[in-house]
Amino acid sequence: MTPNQPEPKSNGDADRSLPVTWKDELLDHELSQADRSVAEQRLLDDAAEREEFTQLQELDETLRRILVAGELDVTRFLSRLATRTAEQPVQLVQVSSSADDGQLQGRHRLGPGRLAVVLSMLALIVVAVLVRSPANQWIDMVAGTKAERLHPGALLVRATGPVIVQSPNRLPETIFVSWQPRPLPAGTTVRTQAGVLCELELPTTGRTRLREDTEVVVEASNQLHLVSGMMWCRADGPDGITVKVPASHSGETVPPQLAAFVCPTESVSSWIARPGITTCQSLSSKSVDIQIPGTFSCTMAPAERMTLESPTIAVSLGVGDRLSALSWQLPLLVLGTADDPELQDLLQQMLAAIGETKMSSLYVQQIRELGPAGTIPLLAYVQGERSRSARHVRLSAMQIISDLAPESARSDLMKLSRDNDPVVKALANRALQRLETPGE
Amino acid sequence: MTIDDDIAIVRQAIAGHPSAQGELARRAYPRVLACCMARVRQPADAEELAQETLLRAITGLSSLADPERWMSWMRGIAVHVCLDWLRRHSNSQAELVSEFADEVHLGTRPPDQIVADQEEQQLVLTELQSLPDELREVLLLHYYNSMTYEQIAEWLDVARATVSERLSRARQTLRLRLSRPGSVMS
Repeated sequence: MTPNQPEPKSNGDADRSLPVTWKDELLDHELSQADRSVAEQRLLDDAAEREEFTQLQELDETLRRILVAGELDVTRFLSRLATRTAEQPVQLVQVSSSADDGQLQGRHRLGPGRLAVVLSMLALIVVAVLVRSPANQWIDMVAGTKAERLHPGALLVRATGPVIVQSPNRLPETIFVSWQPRPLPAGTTVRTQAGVLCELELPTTGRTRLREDTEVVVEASNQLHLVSGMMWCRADGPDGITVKVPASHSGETVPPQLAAFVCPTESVSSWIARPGITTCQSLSSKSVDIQIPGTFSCTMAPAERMTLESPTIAVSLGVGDRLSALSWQLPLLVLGTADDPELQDLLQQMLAAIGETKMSSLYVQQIRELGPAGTIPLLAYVQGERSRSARHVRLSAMQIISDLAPESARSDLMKLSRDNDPVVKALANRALQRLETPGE
Repeated sequence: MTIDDDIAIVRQAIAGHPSAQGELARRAYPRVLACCMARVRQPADAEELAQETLLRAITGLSSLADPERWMSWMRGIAVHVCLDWLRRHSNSQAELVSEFADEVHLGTRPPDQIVADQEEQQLVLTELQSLPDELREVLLLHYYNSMTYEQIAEWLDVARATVSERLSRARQTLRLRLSRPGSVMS
């Protein structure tokens, strides 16, 4: 209809009064049926009103396109809720409610539990920065003595404190590992105390690391007996490494039955023997067959755990957390060289986990307040696999990185500038541009 | 979703059923987000604050005396969380509107269309931020959560006519500003 056309005659309802906001209510289907008829008639009658309503419809379409709220990730939320509920006893959140107005009053402060987490994060970031720095010179405690080594059952190559060893037919002795590895003959018992970790090299067959409060007997260079505690083991030799573990505990006076497993070459595993329970976790990146000679073998998926119910019965416990099975080794690994790929890999995984925790536990502004150093765990997080399943969080992290990442992040930013996600790519390029033009 | 449904879920959530707590959070999220977005303006921060609100609300459900008043109770928490945040970050509110304006639907459309969409979104969000808080909140509640006037009125604890008037004023203001030469609707 054009303005020159004759206006249609209004019917009797046209005089009915409409609310001032009738066009909005018509648009939103909030008018009553009677008012709707009147409103529609008025639009037919009045070109100016019609024009205004058309503009309102256009605005409505634009707003519907732009103002879209994302869905809440309920699984993630419930996980945060569980964490929050667990933290509640130590959290200093004072909440009071008034029955009259339903408003909450109080102040949210950093509780001691959360403060400890933040401080430990910062400590790890400092360690990470130090280790990642190529200029940093670490003292190699095991340097340059391989040619002089004998061929013992094992070599005690590094430890974070005194280790108790007892060779066959000798009294126990306390060893402080300095720069020279200590040969241990076959049959030696190695014991770590609280706070001490140690690493044994098994010549030509692999390597093992003992957690604190652990006892292992090196029966041969390719055979270990875990008496109690926790042990990590990597098999390099063609025949693998045999690991003996207690398979049942009938009582303190009866020695436990032992089960022997053969960990194949190129496998990595973690073993725990505690009173009443023995478990194994595969830490290899692919499935491995772990055998009990003469009985059975079981195929373990990456990160899968199993428990031993008898010398011949193993039950799967499902996939466990790979990082927590490795992270205890960090104090031992930092005794090596800074460019150790194993150390770098572990740090990257730990930083990624810290980055993920930061993104889920802190406000964006709080992370920003940590400054450029605070972006280091975020860089690890956005490069890790886990972040790819949470794009929105990944992009939030990238936004912070883009604004704050320091010069030392340049190589990580170069990698991210080739990311498959175009937004990540653009934000990485923006950060690189910022670093190119300091002062802007 | 009816009000009775909501109250049944609130009661189950108070009883500690995790699925009800998750469902309550899911349902309340858009309106809590609108409340936070109306105050802190940065989408990423608003999302954090919305989640913080829901966490505080659900962990504190036992203090909710009347489950039928859960909406005004939860909105009270959201307002408090935002004010608390604003007090602590009063210097950061001058930042740009949307850090994620660059993110809209990249990938499948020609570059000129992407640029045009980004410009449109940036412009609309900028004008949205210049509205008074009470107008912005009504607008966000309406579009984020497709809430009826009645539902918005209950959430805000105001009369239905107030909602209608605020929504109309918000749109009228935006329409005038966006129809200026060179704007989205010119």
